[in-house]
Order: sequence, then structure tokens, then C-alpha cells
Amino acid sequence: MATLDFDVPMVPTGEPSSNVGPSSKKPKHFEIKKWNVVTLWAWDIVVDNCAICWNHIMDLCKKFHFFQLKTVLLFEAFRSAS
Amino acid sequence: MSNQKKRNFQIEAFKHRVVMDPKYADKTWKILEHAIHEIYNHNASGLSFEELYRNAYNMVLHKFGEKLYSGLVATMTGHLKAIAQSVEAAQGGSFLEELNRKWNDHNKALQMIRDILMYMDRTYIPSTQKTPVHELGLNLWKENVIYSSQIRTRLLNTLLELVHSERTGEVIDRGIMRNITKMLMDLGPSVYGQDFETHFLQVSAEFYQAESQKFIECCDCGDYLKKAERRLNEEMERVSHYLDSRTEKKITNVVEKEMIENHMLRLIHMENSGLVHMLCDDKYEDMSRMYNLFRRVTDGLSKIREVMTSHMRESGKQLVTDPERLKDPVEYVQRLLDEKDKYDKIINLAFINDKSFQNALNSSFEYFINLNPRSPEFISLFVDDKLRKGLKGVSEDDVEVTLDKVMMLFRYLQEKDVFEKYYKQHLAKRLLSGKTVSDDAERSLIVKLKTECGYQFTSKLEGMFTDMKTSQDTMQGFYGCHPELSDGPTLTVQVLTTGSWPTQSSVTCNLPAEMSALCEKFRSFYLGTHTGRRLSWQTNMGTADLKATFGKGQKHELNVSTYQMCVVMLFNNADRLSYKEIEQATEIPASDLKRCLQSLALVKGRNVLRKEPMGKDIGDDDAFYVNDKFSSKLYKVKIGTVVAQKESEPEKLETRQRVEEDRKPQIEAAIVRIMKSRKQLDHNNLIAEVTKQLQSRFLANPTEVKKRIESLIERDFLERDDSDRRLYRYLA
Repeated sequence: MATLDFDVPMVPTGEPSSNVGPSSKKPKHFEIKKWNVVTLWAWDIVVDNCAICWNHIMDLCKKFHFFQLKTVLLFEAFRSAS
Repeated sequence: MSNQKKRNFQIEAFKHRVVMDPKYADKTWKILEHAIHEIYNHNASGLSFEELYRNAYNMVLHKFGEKLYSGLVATMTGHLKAIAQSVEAAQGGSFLEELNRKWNDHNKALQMIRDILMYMDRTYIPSTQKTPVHELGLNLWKENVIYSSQIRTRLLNTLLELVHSERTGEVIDRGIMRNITKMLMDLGPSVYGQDFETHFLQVSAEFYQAESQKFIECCDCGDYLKKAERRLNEEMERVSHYLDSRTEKKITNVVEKEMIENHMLRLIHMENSGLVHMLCDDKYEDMSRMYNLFRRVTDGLSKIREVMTSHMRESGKQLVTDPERLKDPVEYVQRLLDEKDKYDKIINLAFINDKSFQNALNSSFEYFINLNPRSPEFISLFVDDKLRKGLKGVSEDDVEVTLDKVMMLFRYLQEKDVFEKYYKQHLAKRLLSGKTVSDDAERSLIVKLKTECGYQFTSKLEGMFTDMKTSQDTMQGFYGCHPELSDGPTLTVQVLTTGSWPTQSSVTCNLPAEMSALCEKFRSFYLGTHTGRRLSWQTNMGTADLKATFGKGQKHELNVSTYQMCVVMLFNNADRLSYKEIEQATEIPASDLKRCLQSLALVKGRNVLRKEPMGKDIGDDDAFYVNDKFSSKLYKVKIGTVVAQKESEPEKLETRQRVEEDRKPQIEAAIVRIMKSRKQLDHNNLIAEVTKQLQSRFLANPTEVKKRIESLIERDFLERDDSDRRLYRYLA
């Protein structure tokens, strides 16, 4: 897991809770200024493993897989055009 | 001139035979005999060398060589017997002095006699195979003086007593000793050997046997070795002062045997002072002395090496298996590095960088580092610590030193692929969080790893850096195409290549509406320039900066995780939410969500939310509110995530299983490469070859290799030979 590395001790808050009734039409508490997000790209095909060496297509022999995938994509494009 | 013949003159020899005086020989010998007497009596100054030489010459010439030679023998013998008597009569300490003085006299006399009789030496003696004059003189001296019954024993005893005196600290006359031993050598090496050296060595052996026994019982190892060293030096010095140089090897062998070889094991294993003690306390000088002394004897160094190796393995084993030390990976690795430094220094200062000791160190470290299966993880965590903060502000050269030391430990790992797995995880965190002290340091380490293990090992790691760079360019392109987005939230997307980064489950939670829209815009942009791809958002990663306003108007900027962002944004539209409602609204996995809420509601100083009822456990019906009373001294507040520094047990097993899974294609690729080049190969050789090829990454398990062979056979990469089932063939 590539989560943020932060070690914080957990302690319950000692304050007694006071019940606050719902209030009408409050201004927004939170506004997003900036978001750093992570996304993974992969080839948009169903097959995840190389038909020849059975490894994941993103793994070994990347050049070979790339060539193979270009062929597959070309074929798909041709088929959808017909 | 006239043509007349010239007259010839001719000189004719005497016609008459010369009549030899019948008493000539006797008279001539008398003259020579008298001269010899005078020479021995120190009255040579009155003699005429020319006359004597001519007399000797004439005797030989007139066939009286035998008379001359036997007369010489008789005369010299007479004198030497007299000399022997005067030496025997010498009292106590003057014995050697008298002997030396007489020897010097004899040599002078012998020199003169030989000069007088030179013609005999050159003609008569070779033709009759007799002993030359000088050698004859030495032999006669040996037989009549040295081997005199009273002198022989006394001489040996005197010499040995003086040596003993010197060994016990007394000052002796080294000059006289040198002269006497030189005399023995002049008489012939065998004389020196048989009449002195042999006895000297035997007496020395007895002396050192007794002394070493005494020393070993009252001295500690360091002191004993100092004494042994001093004794060796003394014996070598003694040889250089007054013994024949060829004795040195023999006497040092005696000391080595009696003081070192016979007590080697006892010395090494001495409690509180032996080799282990020296190693623990860094006694370089003592160890250096032990090394120099022990290498003089057979197996000496191998004994030191054995004990050092055994100790290193034992202390190293304790280091890597002590539960207390396993709590802090950085401390664990630092101790390994310190241990390596310690022994490197010992081998450098005490064992003169002896290659066999370096090999012993290397094999020991390889042994105990791999005893702890978590060493690869810990080394990666150590690197992570250094590259996050440990090396901040450190000079470039010092960075290299640290990384080189880490590489030394890395080389000892047998499961380098496990290290790679963890290193990739830790690198991913550093890159994605922007917490790395130096890109140069990161790349420097990758270059070292590539050098060590090859391109394939680091290709994905390099791919990670490429992704970071490419992502920056992509974001610039994105905002270049969408200037209208500059007013809203700023989006930064890291686009990662699947397979280059640590394997992650693809989970997507429900994003706040405005972020969802922004993501869709980015997706359209990205796929517009990269056709045929799809994107999977990793909402379990990422961070967000939020502007927050609380009940009493206090304002803060919060730094939160993506999940935390999704949760708190819900409270813009609701005052109260139950855990169940939050889970349904966000679709964050339960374990992640609970940790997320714990961070938001239960960490003092960071509790932007309030929970009812209070308590650290989170139940389905618990209620959450914005904490209107939130306050902090800081404007910017970082909400961390409650995570473990090290992997928990289940995560560790998962990583281990992933490593095992990743090994399968590696093994298969190796099998296919080997079989493709060999076409056919038997089972054992194939396993050996596969193990060899994969050694730089991990030790292949023969059982697993066998399974992969079966799998390749099923998939028609290989087949078994019909007649020999242990023979495999490659199928094109």
C-alpha cells in the first residue's frame, strides 16, 4: 500500500460533547484548493496476459508486447470500421 | 756484401752430471722446520721469505715433496697440541678468549706457511691428491684443538651457557661469541652444525618449552604474544650478531613451535584476553601481533580466521535475530553497517587486508544477514529513511559513501528480488509524496543497482522516474488546453504505468462532484493524446489541500488524503452523518474508511470532526459532526493517516506471496532461454543452469523450478524425450 507515511498516536478527545441542534443555511465548511491524485494507465483491452509467454502484458518483453498490442489495436479499428 | 754462408753459434749444456749433496734434503728441511717453529713462536720477523720459498721450491723440484709435506704435518701437529694444552689450562672466563687468541695466531701462521709452501700447493699436492696446506691447517686445528677431549665439551657448554645468560637478561661479550662461531664455520659448516648448532637448537627448544609453559600460565594472551614476539626478535638479533645467518630459520622455527604452535588454540581461546576479546574491544595492536606471529606456523592464520568467522557469525546472528533490534529497521541496518565498518577496520589495521580474511568476512555477513528474512525490507527502509531526510544537507560525496555502504549489504542478500519489491514500494511513496531529498541521490542508487544486477532489475524503477517526468509535462499540456480551469481547484495528476509500480488493487470511491468533473476533463485530454488506453484512479493514494472554516469562524488550511477529502466534503451538505451513511456515500472500503475517520476524529490537535459516542472504536451507528470547537496554533494542519511504519503480519505475507508469484515468470523465462540455446538438456543440468542464471536475483527453489518445467511442458514449450524421461527438448 502506497499510503502516506505518518505515524500519529490515537487518543480520544477528552472534551464532553454538547449537543448542538441543527442550524439552518450554514456556509460551506470546506473548499478544495488543490488535489494531487494518482492514476494508472493500461492498454484498453480485455486480455491481461501475453498469449505467447503468459506473462502480464505490462511485464517482461515490453517491446514485444507493445508491437503485439499495436497489431491488436489495428485489427480492432479495422473491424469496427467495417 | 759477400755471398758467403753465415756461421751458426750453438750453446751446449753441461757435459757433466751435477752431484747432489746427500744431506741436502735434511739440511733444507731443518731450515724450513726451524722457520715454522719461529713463526708459531712469533719470531717471524727475522725470517727471509725469499730464501724459505726457494728452499721449499728446491725440495719439491728435487722430488722431496713427500718429506716436506709429512714434515709439515708433524711440525704443525706438535705446535697445535701445545696450543691445546694452553687453552685447556685457561681459567673460567678466559677460556674463550685464549681459544680465540690462539686461533688468530694459528691463522696468521697458516697464512705465512702457505705462502712459503705455495709452490708445493700448486704442483706436488694436486698430483698426489693430498690436502692443500690451508685446509690441512684447519683440519689439524680441528682434530688437535677443538676435538681435544677437554676442549670440545667445555667449548659447547660455555657457548650454550653464554646464550642462556643473554636470554635471562645478562650482558655477554658478543664479540668473542661471534669470533668463536665464525671459527667453527671456517672449520666447515658441518663442524658448526654438529658441534654447536644442533645442540644449540635442542637446548633452545627445552628453554622455550619451559618458558612458554610458565608464560601461558601467568600471562594473558596479549602479554604472552608480546613476550613471544620479543623472544623471536631477540633470536633473530642474536643470529645477526654472532651466529651463522643460516641458523636464523632454524632457531625461529624452534621459537615458533614452542611458543606459538604448541599453544595456539589455548591462546586464541583465552578467556578475557583471547581473540574474541580482542575482536570485541578492537585491540588492533594485539591482533596484528597475533596475525604476524601465527602466520609463521602452519595453519596459524586459518585458526584465527576460524575463530573470527565463528565469532562474527554468532554476534551477527544475535544482531539480526534480537527481537529488540527488529523494532527499528533503521537502527538494525545501521548496526549492520557499523559492524561491517568495525571488521573492515580490523582486517585493514590488524590483518593487513589479507584476502582470505576479507573472504571470511564476506561469507559471514552473507550467512547472518540472510538469517533474517526481513533484511531486504529493512535495508530498503534504511534507504528510505536516508533519502527522505537522513541525507538532507549532506555533501554529494558523503551521499555516495552512504549509498556505497548500503550496496555492500545489498550484495550479501540472497533474495535481491525481495529487496526490489520493497524498494519499489518505498520509492513509490517517496516519489508520489514529493518526499525525497535529492533526485540525484535516487538516480545514483539506481545506477548502482543496475551495475550490480543488470538492466532488467532496475528497468521498472527507471520507468517510475520516467512516469514522474512525463506526468509533469502532461499537466502542463492539460492546463495549457484548459485556461478556464485556473479559477477552480488545482489538479495534479500522476499518470503511472501499470506494472512499473507496486501492484495495487484498483479501487474507486465516489469523489466530490466538482472533482469528478475535473477528472473527466483530464481523462478526455489524456486519452485524446494516448489512444487505446484506459485510466484507473487510485483513490487510496493522493493528497488534497482544503480551506476550512469552523463554528466560531476559525480558519485553517488542511492537508488530507484523498479518502479524507471525500469524507469531509460530505459535511458541506449535512450536519450529522452516521458511519453507515458515510460508507454508503463514499464507497470507501471499510478498513480504509475506519482508519480515515480515526485520523479525522480521534487524533488530538487534528480532530476536525467530532464523534459520538467517544472512544477509539468505530461502530456502524456512530455519529460524526464537524468539530466547531476545533483549534490549532498552526494555520496549516496536516491530517495524517494512522498507518504502521513496518508492514503488519498479513501485509508481510502478502508481499512475500507476491514475490513468490513474480518468481514464476522469471524462472520460466530462464528455462526457455536455456532450452532455446541448448535444444535439449537433462533435468539436473537444467535445474543447475536455471539456479545459476537467477542467482543475482534470488536462490531458485528446485521444487518450484520443477513445477515450472511441468507447466512449460503442458503449454508445449518443452517436451520429454520418449526414451529418457529426464531429458527435455525445446519446441520451437
